[in-house]
Amino acid sequence: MDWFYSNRIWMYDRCYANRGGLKESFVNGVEEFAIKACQQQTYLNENKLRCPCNKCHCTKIFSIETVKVHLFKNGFMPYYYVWIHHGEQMPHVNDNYVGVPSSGEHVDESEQFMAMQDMVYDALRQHETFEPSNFNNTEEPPNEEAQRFYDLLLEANKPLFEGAINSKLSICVKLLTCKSNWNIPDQCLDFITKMLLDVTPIKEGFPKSYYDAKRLVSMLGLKASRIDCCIKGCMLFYDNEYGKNDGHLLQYKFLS
Amino acid sequence: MIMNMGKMMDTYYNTNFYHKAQYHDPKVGTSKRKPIPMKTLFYLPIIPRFQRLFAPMQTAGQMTWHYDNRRPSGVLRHPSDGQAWKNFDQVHPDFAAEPRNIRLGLCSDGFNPYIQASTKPYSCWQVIVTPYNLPPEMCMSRPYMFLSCLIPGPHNPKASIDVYFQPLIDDLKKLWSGVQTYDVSRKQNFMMWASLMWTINDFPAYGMLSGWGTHGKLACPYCMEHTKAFRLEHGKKNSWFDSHRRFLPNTHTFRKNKKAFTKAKVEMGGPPSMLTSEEVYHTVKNVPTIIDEPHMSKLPGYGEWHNWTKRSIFWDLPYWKDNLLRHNLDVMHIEKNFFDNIFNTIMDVKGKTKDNDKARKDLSLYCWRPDLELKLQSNGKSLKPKANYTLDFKTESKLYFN
Repeated sequence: MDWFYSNRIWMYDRCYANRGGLKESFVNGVEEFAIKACQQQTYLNENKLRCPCNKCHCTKIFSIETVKVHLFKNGFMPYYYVWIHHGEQMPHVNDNYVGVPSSGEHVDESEQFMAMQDMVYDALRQHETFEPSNFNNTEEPPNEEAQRFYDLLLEANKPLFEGAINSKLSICVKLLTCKSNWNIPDQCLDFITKMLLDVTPIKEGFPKSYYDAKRLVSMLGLKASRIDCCIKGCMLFYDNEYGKNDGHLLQYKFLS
Repeated sequence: MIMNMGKMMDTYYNTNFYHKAQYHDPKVGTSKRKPIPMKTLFYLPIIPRFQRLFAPMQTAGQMTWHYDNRRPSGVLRHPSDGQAWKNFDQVHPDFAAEPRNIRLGLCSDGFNPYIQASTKPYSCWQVIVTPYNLPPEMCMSRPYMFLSCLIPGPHNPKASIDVYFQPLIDDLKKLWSGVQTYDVSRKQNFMMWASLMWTINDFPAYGMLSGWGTHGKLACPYCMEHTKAFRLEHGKKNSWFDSHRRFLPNTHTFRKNKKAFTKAKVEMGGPPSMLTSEEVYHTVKNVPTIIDEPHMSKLPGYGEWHNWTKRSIFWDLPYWKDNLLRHNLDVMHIEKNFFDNIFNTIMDVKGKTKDNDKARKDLSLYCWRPDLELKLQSNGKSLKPKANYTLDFKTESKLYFN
């Protein structure tokens, strides 16, 4: 679809503004259209084709000469990027959209885990070809940081035992979801992890405590930082790269 | 002597009462513990979050949507179709050349995490940053709006909200010089840039972020000092009545209408001139920021010929003066308040209608509406004639029960 949009901008760019005359790109484009349309089977049989001009809307059938005149006069009908009535096929909708939650809806937990699985899958398929049209294909390995992230994800996402749906990561994330959704005390989570450990025969991958689970998830990054501030909101006690150096202060600095 | 006392009290309060140290005093016997801070700002760093957008295939491919799917001119479907976006591209061609560079919007609003209508009000502020590169169905949806700051209460930070923006602005500055990122969909490492396009707020927050106070007579950030606002004689409130006729074309019949608007007035003035961002920067340049001077007294002339409270921290961004649209109003709050007022007036709700006695008194001063003016009666009381835009009991009940 992208290809059609980017290469057929000329279709809706017919004349120069404020003066007569057709643009050269439009004339060339119509010639291209005529050549393409004349190759289809129906034209070869009857020597006539559907007119895609802004007035006929592909409902009337004329000879190629008339169609050209119509196009120069009226332009193409709107949104006719893909010439489906003249031997072209509608491209398939981009598969990347699948699995993206739409706005406002509650994101299902299982959906989230699916997204996680996809990410791992993306990291794995290093050698599969993916060819965007606009860029040179210079493939590189991920930089150190990204590589570390993918490695961690792979490591944590191994299934707990053969045939299991859950991985160590998904179990840990579920534990933390409990914590954040229902505000459960840490001790209770410790109890739950212990219970899980008692139930399962294979104890290898399971988190041993709440702390364990938290550490694993926090290794994946996206942390929140806490910055101390003045109780009146006059300053932050922190350092930055642009010459601010208040991290060590114990007292408010604007005392007069 | 009295002055001396005052000074002494001042220093006393400054040091001991108003501005305490960073930490709570340690309790006896717990000296080995980490000290407990008085107040903490939660900052969720944005750079790793943006980098993570390029980690899964689903989003990494979509981050160039605005570039790959060019809409034909004349279609407004995405912020990238707008003038502000295109203008920024023209001013910064290096930035525009890489479609994976991120354009950001920022919004901020206060909320109460505890009981809404409690006796002890609590106002906690959030700052949310969203990337606009994504297609319309993903852009501004919940998974792609990043909470970046959570400012604790209990009070509204007012103009000093800039203090809490510092870590965010530092990160934005860093993003303007580029951050190494791996793009999984193209399997490349590239320098990711990001720029903040605009902020979206309700009206009070607009004043906090932009630096132009939104209180008083000069509240309108478009008219600025050329405003035609006046104070109502009886209502004792600022009014912007009849300030909009000057935006009409010069030959419009409304301009000569002496009855429908202000009594016996022909509007001949033109609209206030549109300030470019350079001009705004020029006026604001010498105003101190709230970070350097947290105890700034009101600037000379505040409320008289300007309404500047501070220089906004956003001017520290090197590209901020190249943005056409810097601050936007979030229409939702305004729409709700408008609806409430109009509804209450039409339904003639007692105590909530805007069509009260004071309004009728002002009406006789400014407008030509003889049928609505208060009428003095023989017993000394005044009668308020029923207006034809309010519903009476019969029609009201019809409205309710149908």
